[in-house]
Amino acid sequence: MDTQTLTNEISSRKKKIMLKPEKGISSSLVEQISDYKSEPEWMRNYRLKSFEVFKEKKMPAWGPDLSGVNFDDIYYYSQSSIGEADSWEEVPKQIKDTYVKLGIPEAEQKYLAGVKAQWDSEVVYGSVLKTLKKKGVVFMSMDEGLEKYPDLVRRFIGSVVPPEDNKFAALNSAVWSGGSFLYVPKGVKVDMPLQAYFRINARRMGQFERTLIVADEGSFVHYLEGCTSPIYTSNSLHAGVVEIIVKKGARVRYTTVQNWSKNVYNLVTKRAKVEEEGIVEWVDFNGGSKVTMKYPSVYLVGKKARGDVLSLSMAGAGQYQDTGGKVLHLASETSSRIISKSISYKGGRTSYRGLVRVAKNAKDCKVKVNCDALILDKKSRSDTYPVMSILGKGAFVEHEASVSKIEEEKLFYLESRGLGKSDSEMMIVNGFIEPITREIPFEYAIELNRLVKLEMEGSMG
Amino acid sequence: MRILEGKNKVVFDGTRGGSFQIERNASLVYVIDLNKGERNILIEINLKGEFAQARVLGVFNGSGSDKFHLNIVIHHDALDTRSETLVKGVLKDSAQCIFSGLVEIEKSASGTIASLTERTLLLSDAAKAESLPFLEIKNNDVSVNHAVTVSTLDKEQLWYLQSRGLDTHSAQQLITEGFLEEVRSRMPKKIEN
Repeated sequence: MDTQTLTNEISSRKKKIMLKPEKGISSSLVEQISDYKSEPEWMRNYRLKSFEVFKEKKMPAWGPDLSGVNFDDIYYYSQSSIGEADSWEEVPKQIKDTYVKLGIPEAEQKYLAGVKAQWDSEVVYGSVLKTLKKKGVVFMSMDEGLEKYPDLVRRFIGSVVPPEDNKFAALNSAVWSGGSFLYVPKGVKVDMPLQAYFRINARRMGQFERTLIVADEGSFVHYLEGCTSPIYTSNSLHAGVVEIIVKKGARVRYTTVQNWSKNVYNLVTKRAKVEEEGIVEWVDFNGGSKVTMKYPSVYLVGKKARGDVLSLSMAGAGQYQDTGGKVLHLASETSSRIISKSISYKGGRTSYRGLVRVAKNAKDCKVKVNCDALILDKKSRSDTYPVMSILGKGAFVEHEASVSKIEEEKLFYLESRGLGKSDSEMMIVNGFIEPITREIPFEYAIELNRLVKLEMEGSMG
Repeated sequence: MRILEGKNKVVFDGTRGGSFQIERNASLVYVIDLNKGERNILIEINLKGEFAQARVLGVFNGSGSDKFHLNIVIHHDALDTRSETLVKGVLKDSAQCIFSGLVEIEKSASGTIASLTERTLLLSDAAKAESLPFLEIKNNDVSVNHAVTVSTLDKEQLWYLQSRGLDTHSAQQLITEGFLEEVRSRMPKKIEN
């Protein structure tokens, strides 16, 4: 695409903006969104019904303080993602500095800051999409999915996370926009990780994105969202919903690298339903946001299904990461593993909140939960709130947790080998998070290590 | 609330629960042994003075429709305090046990070492174990662990004992006794009520 057509494309898109963005939510706004997108009647009703649920549902009575969330002060929909900064000058200096330190090229910096859409990469990603298409893989934005595959969407949307699940899932169901729709046909193995921005014309991650992944029998896919660089937005609420359906013998891995700017309430519902011999793996990194409440969940509904949750959270000044995982064993011989690591520093607070339930009719289930926390200084805090409810015959459940600072002996050993104090500390921290970072694709893992180092600067010693 | 002072170690039999404040150098051992009925026990221990120590040792053995609820709260609020909670239990028939533990470590409690452990054996389909071992830690100079396991009888152990001529029932009994012995053997003989 040359510059001229690109400019034309952009300006024609700008003309399309008809819906005047306004703050606050009402049923008429929900209707407007649906009308604007020319959605089928059932989706319009689904949104309206969800909005009613949203109004009735109470805020969670547990966990972090959410009194800073003001539902009237949020843009719920706009064609040109209003939450993004309009110009490079508006992006806070702190975020710009981080980009520089992470070594991200300027064009990409602007994209990440939301100033510019990443049109340049279309050609490269276009060829990826062509290969996928040949295999019958459907990968598009959720809005496009609804338009082209209404039956599939209707069948699966809300089947794993119904609007009634919680207040924020209801809100998302009412005003969702964007997100990915991914369908992998029977027996198809997608051999490279799919990223949200592989999608042509993908706009930046929205505030209320809705993602639906259906992996048909025997298929495999790895989906990756987010990036290590801080994503700037002036909108302070992100309430996404992700639903995954794993059919018999299929495997889905979902990797999230979350680094929202530090004014965002990140309240996300992620859940997978796994059928016989299927596998789901959540790999979840949370580094940004002001408050995150996120507990990737796995419902093991078929015999011999398996679920893993690998979670890494970091909380610095003014941050509260309330993360963890939930696994429900509803069928026999199912197994699960939760590994959670957290680091709190500079007055940050991390919590592990987890649920493991083995149902009465689920026989011979295996569960292993490990959660470890590092607290780097006196101002910081770490909590652990696991709940286990075990009924099934032949269940084997293990839960272990530890909380500590960086051990003096380890430090002493490394220093005696000639390493400086901060290098030694960094090495210990990297070793601590390694079980999670090794599960993240290589290029991201490198950036992640750099990010951890950057965040921890001056917080130790 | 009972206040423990001085260097003496005090041992309580905890079928009734209660709350305790442990002053400097004092130490408490709390023993729980549950084997029948519906029991609801709340133990609150506040480690208020330097070097204060608390140890909670518990066993439960439930059958029929027994229902146990163990609620243990340990609050570390001074330098160099120690706490250890070790509870092991066996559940048969449709017996249930809810174990809720909370170890709270205040900013003032540098040098804390704490552990919270619960192990349950489920011997039937309808037996139910629920565990909520919570930690709230506001200090980084600590070493805190918790561990929970829920499992069933080890088939190999059963097979071994049966190969030595024991019937299933006695083999099962022997294994469960051995399982609980780890805690029982550590319980002090002299108990104050």
